[in-house]
Amino acid sequence: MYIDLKELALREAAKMHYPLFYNFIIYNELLEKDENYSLTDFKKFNERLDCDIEYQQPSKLISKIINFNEID
Amino acid sequence: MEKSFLRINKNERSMSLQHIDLKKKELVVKRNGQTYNLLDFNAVLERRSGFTVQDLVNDSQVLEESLFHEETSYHKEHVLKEANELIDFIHYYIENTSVKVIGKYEHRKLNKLKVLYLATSLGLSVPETFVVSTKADLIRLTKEYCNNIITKAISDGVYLFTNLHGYYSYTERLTLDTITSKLSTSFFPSLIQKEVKKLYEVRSFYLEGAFYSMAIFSQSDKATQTDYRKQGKAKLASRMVPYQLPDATSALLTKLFQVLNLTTGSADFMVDEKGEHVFLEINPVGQFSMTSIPCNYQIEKIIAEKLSCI
Repeated sequence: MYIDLKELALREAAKMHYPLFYNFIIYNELLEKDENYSLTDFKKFNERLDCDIEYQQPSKLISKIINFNEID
Repeated sequence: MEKSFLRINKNERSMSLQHIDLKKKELVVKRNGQTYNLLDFNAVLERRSGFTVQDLVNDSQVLEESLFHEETSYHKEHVLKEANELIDFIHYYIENTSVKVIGKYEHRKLNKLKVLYLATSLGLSVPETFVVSTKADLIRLTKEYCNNIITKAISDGVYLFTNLHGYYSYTERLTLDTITSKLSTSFFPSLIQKEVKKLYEVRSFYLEGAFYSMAIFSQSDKATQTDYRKQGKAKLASRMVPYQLPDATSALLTKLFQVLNLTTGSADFMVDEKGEHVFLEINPVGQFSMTSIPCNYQIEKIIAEKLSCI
């Protein structure tokens, strides 16, 4: 599954106040949390890493599978 | 290698600072009901943040509420400054009482322009670099370099996740068409570089005098030509292979790390169509696993051995 990317529109009047790369910021809507998929939030101590690992389902899922060839 | 260790992650909510006692040499934290004097540890690897403001402020939402009359933000900025001062000292204290230190907290952020300036003065090849703020200057550079210029952030690019959206910025190619149709007459001073037409990219992880380098073949996919992090649909990953820097480049880069007083970090290069290694930047808290895993360098094991051999 790929996520549609859009260009962030800057107001003409605002453009002069931002660095150039702000003209090329892209964004995507994050996927909705799947209420049917319930990964219980929990914390577990990992002895090998000697630290807590927190398992938490975010309210919005983030995916890195995005296609930069097709930006609206 | 059986050594006990403690890993402190950013924003680790289960950890809290208990007290610091300079005379007794104590810097005590509590985690999962267990207390540790961090000065008892004799080796430290600093990477990214470690302690953060969130580790010290119990409920940062409280700081969003107004405190003083006719002033909404002074208290928040003041407490955050207080926290950052303490965090600076915590890292400094741990590093200065450890026998072995890899990376330093104060080096977690480098000024890209300063590094480019130093690299040039040492003899490394770097892209032609400018900071401009007018469309007229951009058009002049575009013509001078035949439509081959790029812009990117002087500091960090945008990488932001709100509740509903993810926002990203990358290195972008500027063409005459884009400049005339899309950009304003003047703008915030921005970093411009002559685009290096690359054969491939090199990411080189430096650790106490040794380089662990990787070539990234990102040129054939249109999406990754200007910034290899922009992966297209056809290829979700550019090919990455072990690589050895030329001796001359390696010597100059070593000198740069020494001048910057860095014991570790990741350097980025573009290798142009003439085979010249063009230095781009150093990331002092670089993600070494992205080099270690594809190239099977086992850098994490090398770091663990260095921390253990004291």
